[in-house]
Amino acid sequence: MFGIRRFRPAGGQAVTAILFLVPALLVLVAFRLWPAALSVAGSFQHNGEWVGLDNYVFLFQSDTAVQSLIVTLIYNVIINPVQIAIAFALALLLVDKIVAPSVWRSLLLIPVGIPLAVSSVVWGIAFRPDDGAINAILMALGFPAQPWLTSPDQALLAIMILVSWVGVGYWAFFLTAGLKDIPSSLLEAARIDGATYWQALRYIVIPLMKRPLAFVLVANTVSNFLLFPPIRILTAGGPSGSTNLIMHEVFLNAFTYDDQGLASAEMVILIAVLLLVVSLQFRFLRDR
Amino acid sequence: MKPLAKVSYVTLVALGAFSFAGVASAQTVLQFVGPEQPSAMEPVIAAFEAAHPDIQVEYESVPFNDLNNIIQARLSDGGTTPDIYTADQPRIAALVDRGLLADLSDQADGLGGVMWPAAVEASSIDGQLYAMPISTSSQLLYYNIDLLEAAGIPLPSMDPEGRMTWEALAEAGAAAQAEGAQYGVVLDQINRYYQLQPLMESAGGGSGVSPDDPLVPDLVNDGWLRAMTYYHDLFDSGLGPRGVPVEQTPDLFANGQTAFFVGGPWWLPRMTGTEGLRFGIAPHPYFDGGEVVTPTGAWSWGVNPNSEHLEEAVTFVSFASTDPVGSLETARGFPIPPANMGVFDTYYAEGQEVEGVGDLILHELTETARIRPPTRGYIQFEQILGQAFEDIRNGADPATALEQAQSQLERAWSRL
Repeated sequence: MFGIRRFRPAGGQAVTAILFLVPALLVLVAFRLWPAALSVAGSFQHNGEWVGLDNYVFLFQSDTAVQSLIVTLIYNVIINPVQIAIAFALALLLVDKIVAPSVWRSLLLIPVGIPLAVSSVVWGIAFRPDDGAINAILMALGFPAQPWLTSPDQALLAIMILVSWVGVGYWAFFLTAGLKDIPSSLLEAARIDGATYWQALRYIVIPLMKRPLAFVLVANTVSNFLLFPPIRILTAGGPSGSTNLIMHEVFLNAFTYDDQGLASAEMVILIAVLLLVVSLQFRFLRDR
Repeated sequence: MKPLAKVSYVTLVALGAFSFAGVASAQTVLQFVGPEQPSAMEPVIAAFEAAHPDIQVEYESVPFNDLNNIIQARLSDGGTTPDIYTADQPRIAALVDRGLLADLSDQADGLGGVMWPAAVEASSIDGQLYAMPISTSSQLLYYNIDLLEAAGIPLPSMDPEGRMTWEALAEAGAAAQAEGAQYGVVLDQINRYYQLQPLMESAGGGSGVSPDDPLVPDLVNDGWLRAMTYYHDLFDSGLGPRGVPVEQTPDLFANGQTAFFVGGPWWLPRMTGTEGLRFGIAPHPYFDGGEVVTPTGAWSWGVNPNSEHLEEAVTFVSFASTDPVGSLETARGFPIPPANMGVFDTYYAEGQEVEGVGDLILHELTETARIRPPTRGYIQFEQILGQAFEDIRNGADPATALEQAQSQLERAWSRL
């Protein structure tokens, strides 16, 4: 096979290759690496002066910041597996168990086409405890009305429902593509050998889906760690800090309080946690 | 291209560039960012451009909630635009502290006697003027005539002497609710300090900022606890709504669902324009036995100190604020009272939506208005209190929430 390592361009070709790469590298440096370096440097400063680790010490002594980190972790530990499981189940249904799959696929993608800010406002109205649509449905079915976004115990759940309404269809779309890549001959062979549906799923489909699942899991984790619009629009981190995801905390420090040092330090902590989580995910889903 | 053709082409392009430069230098373009709809700005911009044909003003409208963050993001690294922006009066101290407002003290002569003193005070730091006062504000008690009549509640008087207490308001609201109103009492900016400051002040709790040191919070006292317990009970009893954001509260009154609505005069055009809504206006309530305090403060227009057109920008904000023609045109676009007393009467003579409202606002501005505390930590103050109010509204214990807010605020202010 023609591997990258064997590629030995002649001198002229190397120059051409580098020239082609320059725009992409410049963009990478200007918009990724340089800001990241500035952010790390900024995390050791306060009002333009070097303060060593003071910002980090302040954050770890602050109830608000520590609670925000905990809420972010709880949110991610729950929402990522749940979203992926639902998305995977939907993808399986869409591939072969449903009438008119293309119609369902389109329906699932509609929420993705709506800006998250807009769906947040609409869901916010639906979640209103006194006159919201969701409680109206619950009560019509004989259940008691719920406080949703106004309760410290339910607000994070309400945010998860909203975000999953968008995310599940989106990720199912990727997983559908992965399922379609599985050669049907493998599944037919399994059926001839007498494998049940669940056996085929367990021993053929899921192992072959490791790559798309890894991509979806990592991309979903990143987007959930960086979630911001519904928090900003609906709860501002409340009630009682129960939805104060760390991106909202970063936003407050950076743009409301103009405390760039603290915001940078929080960003560095967030990226460190995210890198750790994502590297663990890659480890578990590695092709063996 | 032949050499001759090339030369003429280059010449044409060069001439074109020169003539373009000529136009550009004759016309200064000022960039202006604010929260008002562009239509609100049209009268004053048109009048200014007519008086100053060499200056053009381009207005950009941004959402109120994002205004301060946008200004922060665009100006904090020495950005030269916008040249002019709307400064929320209680945030002026913080904006000055961050070097985002030019000193306009040269323009301060003659403001005395022309502007509401509270508006000048709210635009000045240590005696220096940093923004031109544009508007001021007050709050009114709106009531739904049909809902009150259905419950047999006497309609409140517009006379400040007959002002309702918060306690009486809650009782009347509950009575109206018993007879079909969905909500008894709804506050306009339901979880914002601007709206709630008068409750604490009326209950004797002060502004929340120590009078001795503008960076020391004072939230844990009997007055604050009394006001916040009232606020907590308002929602706990179902008199007011939980889960409805600030932007949606006026709908609850306009839809006829609410008996009493404490709101700004900027909702008058909306309410008078709502078909089938019969409503009246009364003075803002106070606590039984407490002082009468009403909210005030609104917008001033400030100039970016790094603007490349500083002089023209100052000319514009002065025109809009103090010039007799300019300030009236500014007022005409706005649904809130002008900071300029000279145009106040004309403004209300032209656009009084409810008979007597101009006099009531005049009374409140002169007798009961209290500005928000001028501390350079106001941004943290407003943010942290906003969260505490929302928590209390959602059922958190007022004493605990206030203690938490106090300690959060102490920490946040230690960074300044």
